[in-house]
Parts: sequence; structure tokens; C-alpha cells
Amino acid sequence: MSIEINNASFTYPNGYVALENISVTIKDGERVAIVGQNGAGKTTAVKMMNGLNKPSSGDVIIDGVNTKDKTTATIAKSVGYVFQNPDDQIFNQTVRAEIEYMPRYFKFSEKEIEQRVNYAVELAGIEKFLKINPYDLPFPVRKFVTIAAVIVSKPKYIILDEPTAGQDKHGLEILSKMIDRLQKDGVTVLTITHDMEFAVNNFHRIIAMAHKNIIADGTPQEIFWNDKVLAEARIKKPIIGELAMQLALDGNILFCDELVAKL
Amino acid sequence: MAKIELKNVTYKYPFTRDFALKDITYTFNPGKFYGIIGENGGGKTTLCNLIRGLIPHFYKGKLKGDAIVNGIDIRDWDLGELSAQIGYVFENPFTQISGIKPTVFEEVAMGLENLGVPKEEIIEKVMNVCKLLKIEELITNNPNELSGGQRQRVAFASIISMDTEMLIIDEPTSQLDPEGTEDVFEIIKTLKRSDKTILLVEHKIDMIAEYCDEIIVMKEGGIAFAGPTHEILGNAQIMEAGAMMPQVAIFGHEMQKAGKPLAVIPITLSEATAQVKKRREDNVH
Amino acid sequence: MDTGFINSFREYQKAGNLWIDLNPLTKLSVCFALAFSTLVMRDYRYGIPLCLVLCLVAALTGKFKEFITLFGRLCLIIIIFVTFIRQIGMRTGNVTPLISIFGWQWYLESFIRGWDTISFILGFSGTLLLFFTTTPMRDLMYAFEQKGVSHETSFIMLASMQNIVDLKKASVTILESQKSRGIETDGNILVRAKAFFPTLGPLILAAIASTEQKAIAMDARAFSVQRKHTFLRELAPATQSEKIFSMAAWVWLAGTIVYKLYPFVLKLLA
Repeated sequence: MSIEINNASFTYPNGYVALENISVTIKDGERVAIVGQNGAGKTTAVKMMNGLNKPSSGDVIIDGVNTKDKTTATIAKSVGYVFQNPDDQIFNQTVRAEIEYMPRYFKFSEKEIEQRVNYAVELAGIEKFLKINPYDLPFPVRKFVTIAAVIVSKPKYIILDEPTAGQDKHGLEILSKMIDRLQKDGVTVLTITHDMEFAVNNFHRIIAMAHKNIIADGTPQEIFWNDKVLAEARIKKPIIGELAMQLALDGNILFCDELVAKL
Repeated sequence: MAKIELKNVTYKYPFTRDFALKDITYTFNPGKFYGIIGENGGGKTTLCNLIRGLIPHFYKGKLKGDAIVNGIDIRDWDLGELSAQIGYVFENPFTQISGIKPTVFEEVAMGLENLGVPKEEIIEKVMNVCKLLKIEELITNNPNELSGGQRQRVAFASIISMDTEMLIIDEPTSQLDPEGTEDVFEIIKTLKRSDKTILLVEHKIDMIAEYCDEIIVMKEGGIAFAGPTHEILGNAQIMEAGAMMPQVAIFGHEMQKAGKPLAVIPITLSEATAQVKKRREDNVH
Repeated sequence: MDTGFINSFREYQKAGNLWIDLNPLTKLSVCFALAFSTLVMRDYRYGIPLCLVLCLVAALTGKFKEFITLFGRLCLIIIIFVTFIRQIGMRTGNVTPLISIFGWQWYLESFIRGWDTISFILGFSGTLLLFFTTTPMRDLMYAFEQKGVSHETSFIMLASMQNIVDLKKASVTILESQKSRGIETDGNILVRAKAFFPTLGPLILAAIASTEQKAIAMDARAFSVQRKHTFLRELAPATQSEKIFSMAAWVWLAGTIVYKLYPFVLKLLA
């Protein structure tokens, strides 16, 4: 089971070409971070994965089914996408109602709804906000509300678009725990992120995008110790890696404990 | 010169139960660069709103204690006049663009127009700011059609052109990509060279470590820690207060735990590099 | 830096076109006088030539395409609508039968009366349309501000136009985000209606939230400061000849009224 993009291109209705001939396969259970500059095509690419964008040429196959043959709403049941801006999504009066919306829309049993909501709320760490109006919550918490509202439909794949924006230490910790838990429960997690520390600490595979295409795809070490890729995707080496490089240490170090051990 | 004195300031937003600021006493001195960090909901933005005068003029609520800007109590300031003293840039690059000016040049000039600055002077100032912030190429563009990073640069230019003595900058990079973030920090570096008083709220702790003179750690509406940057960011206790610590400082502490202590806990990359090199040399001798 | 562009602020803004460079208030005055004259005349022999003149002016200002796309559509709708309406209730009196469509008799008189109505509706709306296609909103607001309309009113007018553009963009994203939650948005009318509701909340709330932020942002630009404002971009005040031109338009309007009233007055006197 996998998400497969085969030679797909995407052109917006106004004629802007956002992706040119990209091919990539995301296998079940992977954790993938997509990095690169704005305008590189990251969001366009993930929107192809959940059917919001149907490729102009080429194919996107999700678990053997071509997205061309399905509506976005159908694909969304297996591929959940959390938008960058929570305010594009929230419309219910309480956090609970917002999260329950999906399972109620699909008419699950009360027991099932209860179970799903509890699971989603626990993962997103928003237990204490259930009765509150989402718009009275600060931006980073609203983001967790929208994440829970996607987790509740138990998709096989979850795509998080810039989940770290504005998050504090506590928020980052919740995110890390959530990603671990999702993977344990068999969910494939993808993220678009500008936060390289977050990417190396939580993801095993990094896809670097630049000029409408994928320019590199590999382990954090392969990506962040390749200066050519960093320059082309206009991303920075995580600071521990940078330190290791300035000290002329070998071994493609990216983590604090590796560095301490090496010295 | 902008001086701000807070004495036992307590504040509660209207229709809320909890206090957003609790008994804050602090003095911001002219010409210094302050970094405000800490958990979300800790009162960082509320503090900015107070100093900027939005509290109590825009957000009513309950304000106790004294907040004095340039010798005048915040309650007695006219909000419009205060905007000529204190500039304010915040996170959302979209809402900071007026939406009524068809070119970047006119957008940047808007504050000066409102202040009634003579036209020739406006043109001079706007040209200088656009050069300083490297948006010369954009001056004829429509600000409503720029990318987030470009808009944020225009927002900065619009405020900097007003040449206020003090600047409050609230999470300017949280909605930007790495390149946009770099641009903003480039601007902040430029500002540091001026003699302005600057308050910067930011989660990107490595950036804070690089530029700020003083750090304030906020937690639950109060000041948990305050002091010179090195002292605060090297202190592992700030993590318990919900603030982040620079990666290299964590590294410094880990080295200590591993029995390979560095002479000082580093807070910036260059310091860390120097410290490790020094340690290596010392071990050789 | 584009010095030509920067220098343009040092003098009055000029587009280099006689009509466009008229002071917005002169233009507004002339257009109103003409619009009302069509109302007074209610005659196709007056209204139709006027519409042609409007097209000509639009062409001379280089705004023909913009003008005609809107005006053309308007013409089509009004002509069809009025022609049909005018056929109803024209059954008696001195009428000349023209053709019969499926037993429905059409008369020459009703066509003529129809065209009188059409010409004044088109003449009236066409003149106003010409005004708005050849006068940028901000120029109009600038002129109003010069006449004492408040800075706030002008801002609200201009900002709400941009808001409409922004809301349109936002609604696309919101619809996408609801699709991503599994809400079906493609299909029959019921499905679409169901999908519509969840988009309203975020749209309204986003508008409210951004209004508050915008107020704060504009305040940071000294918007509320009580000082005399400078205008970076200035329009030429109305010249003497412009004032005469505007006056002439109103004399013309008065002329049409006299022309219409004359026979009536004669009858009254007799």
C-alpha cells in the first residue's frame, strides 16, 4: 500500500506551471518531511496526494486507485490533509463540535464517535479546550484543533502543512509525541516544514524540492550533508550539523548526542 | 529617547477570567534590544499591546499599576500620537498591508502621509527605506500581489519609514519560509545598528541569541526570568518555564553532563565553535 | 530605482488623456447631468446616439474593452427584457400590427415605446458606467477627501473593494479545506448546498478577525493621528475651463427640460 506519483505535472487554471514531471512513492508507515523554499511546489505536490489537485499529466495512485477516478472527499477519507491556516477550516462553535463534525457527517455510532474524538483529542493535547469556542484560542492551539479534526476520521495517511508555525516548546513536544503515536498506530505521516530541527528530529526521510521538482530524496544525513542540495533548495543545515561542520568532524553528525560522543 | 517604565502592572482582557499580565515591574532602557520569549499564552503579545498603547485604548479590560512611556502614563497618551513614537510590526504579513495603495512605494509612504510630513521629505524617506530593506525593485508592484515574505518586508519598510524611537516586533517570521525569515533577520540586523529601542517577540531562539542585549522570559502573565542574554539563555531553568534554549546551549549542558565541560555555556554557533576549539587546544597542552 | 515613477509624485497625476485627466468631480457632474437628460428626454432618437457617444468616449480613453464588456451585456439584457415587457398590455388604441408569434400579436408602437424606455435606461446607466470605468475609485475618494469627506470614510470605501477580492480568494481555500475533511462539494444542488454552510463560518470569522488586525496595523501607521495629512499622490484641481464644461452639461440638462416642458406649458397657456 502506498501513495505513488508517476511523472505528474500540475498547471494551475491561470496557466502557472507549479510542478513538472515529478515521481515519488511514499510507502506505508514512513515518516516523510518535505522541505524547500516557498514556490518550490511543496503544497501543490501534497494537494495532489489527497486529490485536491488532479495532475494535468501523469498519475497519482493511492493504494492502487487513481485519484482521477475519485472525488476529493472520497480520497480524503484515506489521505487527511491539515491546512496551513486553521482559520480556513474551523466553523463550529466549540472545539468538541468541530472535531465531531466529520464522524457525525458520516453517521458513525455514538460510541464510535466518542472513541474517535477521545483518541484525536488526546493526540493533539487539547483535552482541556473541548468546551471552548475555537476562535477564543490562540493560533497555535487552533492548529491543534484542526489536526484533531483530521485525525478523527482515522486516515491512513496524514499530511501536516507547517505544523510548527508559532508553536512553543510545549507545542513542539506534543507534535513529536503525536507523530510517534500515529506511526505506532499504522498511520503514515508526511509534513511540509520550514523548521529543519523539527524535520531531522522527527522524520526519517526528507524530500527536498526546488524549481517545481524534487531535487533530492533520502535520509536526513544524505540531505543535510549535501551542500549542493542545501544551496539549491535554499535550506539550512540544522545548527548541530553546522557546528560539526565548522569543527571539521566527519560522520554526518546532526544530533546533539552524536556530537557529544564524538568530542 | 524611548523609555518605558512598568510598575506593578496587572491586566485582564474584557470578558475573561484570568489575568493576562500579573504584577509586572520592568524598565526598558533607550537604545537596547530586548528579546521576549516563553510559552504561548504567557503574556508576550499582551505586553506588546500594553506598551504600544492598544491596552487600554483599543482593548478595554482592567488595567492596574503604572505604565509610563517617555514620562507620560499610557492612559494619557493619544493612541495616534503614540504611533509616531512606537512602531509595531506583527506576524501576519497579509493584514499589515493597507489594501488601498496600488504600489509598494505608496504603501510605504502611507504612515508619513498620515503624519503630515511634507511631500519632498516623504519621497526622500521612502526611497531611503526601500534601499535599506532592499525592496527598490518592488516599488511599482501592487502590494496585494506580493508573496508573504515580500509583504513582511513592505510592512517593515512602512513602519521603519516613520522613524519611531522604538519598535515592537511580534513574531515577524512565524508565517514565513526560511528565505523570508532570513530577510527579516537581515532587517533586524540593520535595525540593531541604529540607536532604536527594540522589543522582539520570537520563537526562533537562535536568532534571539544572536541579536538581543537583554532577555525577558514570560510565563503565566509574569516575568519568570530577565537579564543579559548570555546569562538567561545559558540557564537550563528557562526550559522549565516553558521557554526554548538554543541548540548549542543544550549541547553545552550535555557536554557538561558527559564530563567534557566547556568553559562557558555557548548560546550562538560562533561561540560554540570557539569554545570547542579552545577545549581541544587546552587538552593538547 | 524607477525615478520616472518616483518623480510622478512630484507633480499632479496625469494620464495624458483629456477625459481621464478631468477632475473626478467634474467628470461626475457632467455624467450626472447627461444621465438625467436621458431620463427627461425618454426618446430613442436622443438616447441611442448618446450611447454611441459614450462608446466613442470610452474608445478615446482606451477603456473601450472594459466598458463594452459590461455595457454590451447590459444592452442585451435590457433590450430583450424591455421588448418583451412592452408587448404586454399594448392591445388597444391606434396600433399597427407587425407580426404574430404563436398567436401572440406584436405591434409597431410597442417597439417604439420599448426603444424609448431602453434608450433612457441604457443612456442613464451607460453614463454612470462610463464614469466608473474611466475614474479609479481612489481618485474619486481623493477628490471627496479634498471636499472634506473624512479620511476614515475614504479608507473604508477603498478597503472594502480590496476585501471583496481577498474574500473571493479565501473562499476557494476554505472550500478546499472542507473537501479535504471529506465533505462532498461536487454533485447535485443538495450536496452543494450542504457543503456551502461549512464555508460560511470561516469566511465571516476570517473577515472579522482580519478587520481587527487591520485596524491595529493601520493604527501603527498613524492612521488615527489628529494632524493634517499629506497627499503623496495629487490630482489637479478643476480648472476654469473644466468648470465651464461642467456648467455647460447642466445647461444642456436644463435645455432638455425646457424642450420637454415647452409644449406642455403652451397647452396650459392656451
